[in-house]
Amino acid sequence: MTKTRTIKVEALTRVEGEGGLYVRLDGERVDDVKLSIYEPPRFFEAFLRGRALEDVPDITARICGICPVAYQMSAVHALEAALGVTISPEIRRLRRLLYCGEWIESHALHMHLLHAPDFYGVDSGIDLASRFPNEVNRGLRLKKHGNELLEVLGGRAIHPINVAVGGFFKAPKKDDLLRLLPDFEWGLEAAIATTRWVATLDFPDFTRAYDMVALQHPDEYAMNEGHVASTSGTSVAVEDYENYYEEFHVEHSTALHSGRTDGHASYHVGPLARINLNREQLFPEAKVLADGIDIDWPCWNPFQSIVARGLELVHAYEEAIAIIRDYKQFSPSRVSYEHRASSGCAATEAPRGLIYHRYEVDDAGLVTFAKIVPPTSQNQQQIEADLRDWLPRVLDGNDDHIACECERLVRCYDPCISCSTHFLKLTLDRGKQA
Amino acid sequence: MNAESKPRTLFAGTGSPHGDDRIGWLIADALDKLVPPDVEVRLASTPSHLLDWLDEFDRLVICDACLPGGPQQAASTDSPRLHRWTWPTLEVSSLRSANSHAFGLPMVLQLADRLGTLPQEVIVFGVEGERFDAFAELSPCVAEAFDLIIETIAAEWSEECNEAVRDRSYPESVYHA
Repeated sequence: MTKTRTIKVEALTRVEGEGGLYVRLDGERVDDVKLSIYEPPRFFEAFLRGRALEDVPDITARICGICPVAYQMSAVHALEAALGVTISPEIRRLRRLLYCGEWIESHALHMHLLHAPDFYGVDSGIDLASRFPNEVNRGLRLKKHGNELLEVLGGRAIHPINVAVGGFFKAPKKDDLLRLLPDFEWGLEAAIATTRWVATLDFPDFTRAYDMVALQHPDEYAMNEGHVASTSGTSVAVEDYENYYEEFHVEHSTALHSGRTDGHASYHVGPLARINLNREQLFPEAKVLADGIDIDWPCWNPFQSIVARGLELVHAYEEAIAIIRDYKQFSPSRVSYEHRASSGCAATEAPRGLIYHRYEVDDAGLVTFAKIVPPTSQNQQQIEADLRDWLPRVLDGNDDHIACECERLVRCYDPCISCSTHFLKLTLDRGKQA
Repeated sequence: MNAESKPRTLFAGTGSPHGDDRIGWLIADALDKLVPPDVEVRLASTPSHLLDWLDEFDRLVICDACLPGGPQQAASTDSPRLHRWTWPTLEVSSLRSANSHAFGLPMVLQLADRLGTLPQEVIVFGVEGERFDAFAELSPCVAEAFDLIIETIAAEWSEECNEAVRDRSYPESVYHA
């Protein structure tokens, strides 16, 4: 006679946000997996309506304390699309530099303090620091570089305020950027060492047939522009995103899930998707590193996303150094525009994956509609699907062991579930003993 | 920054723009012009920001929102909404920011201690909040208490603050809060 059981993990740590995970098992069969999430951007969309479009970058930057750039820049690009704004090449390069800063900060934090502990059987980055103080110190120094770059470009350490529709309120001084160069040159070498370190971790043998989705650009490693490509072969303009990908309600979550419009099939966004789709466009050191480490690309093992983050860390340092070296202060730092009733959308790559924004504005410059699709929302369904395949491999332990293994898998996605709390409650239902 | 000009103390206001969670930022802004020159005031949107700065200072004072009804006893200052804790203490785990991000304040302080970058003295001010809705203003009760909170925290920079920092000892229980 089989027995069913429900397992609850009350607090999933080392992820951003609040949610719950419920697992019901019928013997060795996974009967149900539900990842329920509180997703703050839903509130922000309503909050944006009626606001001046010029306020949107500042408001959206405050959606997340971890990745403000991706939120605000996606908004800026979408509004510029609505207004018909064409930015200068100098503004474009500076925006890529801003993304480099956020990727460096976010990837360094996640790799060292949130994800790496899983591979050493320790509970936290604090415990990892006892065993690997040099590596953790190195990671914190990298994280600091990212924040320092954001501060120079964004105007302050917390949510950047220098970003505007049309460009930047003020272009940074060359000397302020050049001052960062010695640290960034050290950081590049450190990022390479970090990536080599994580590439040697003991990864579970777990591969899946993912439909991985990321921006793709003909001339560069896509960060803030491109078309929406996938490893299944589709490639659509950002303007057609909602024809191919859609959000839908599920009963167990306050957050919308995302899936393909055709049957709501799950898909996977994030650094692993980006590396798989755009590896050839990595900067030289990152490309050589990707080719030299012991991973066969494309990679379908979510646990190896930590290596993908490492490669993007290296890329971000390389590109940041190149931009800083070539930088010349420019004017005007912002392109002017006229208000007009219109709509526009944009997609960029947040550290955690593709993020999509769409806005409608009226001829007074007020927002009449806002839609934000964050990466974690898009990954939710994929995480549940992964857990269904992962759970049968880890059922030989007690509930605590199973819960830990579920957390490990969820953390591969670096979910940014919300900014209100970091606890994710997990329920594992095994039913009554037979 | 050379050794002679190195500020001794960092005052960090941590928070977000959401309701009473903004109190740390507001206090920091208000204190910026009140504190002596050897105190540097900075704003942080996540506790992990502190990790970027700690090695520059030998005293750290933090202000953050906290949830009422936590393990703390009655407010430990003249302000009924303001708590003052000397790290290490279990009560810091009740701070709002401790629950707001993957790397909360207790973890940041523990990690810095483990890595040897924690300033010699760490004081944490917790302001009991009531409202944390997206972009909400301060709740009336916190807004009413604002002046007294400022006054109480500003008193930190009195003669007693120049006394030698006390020796610290870290009970193991703190690390497992």
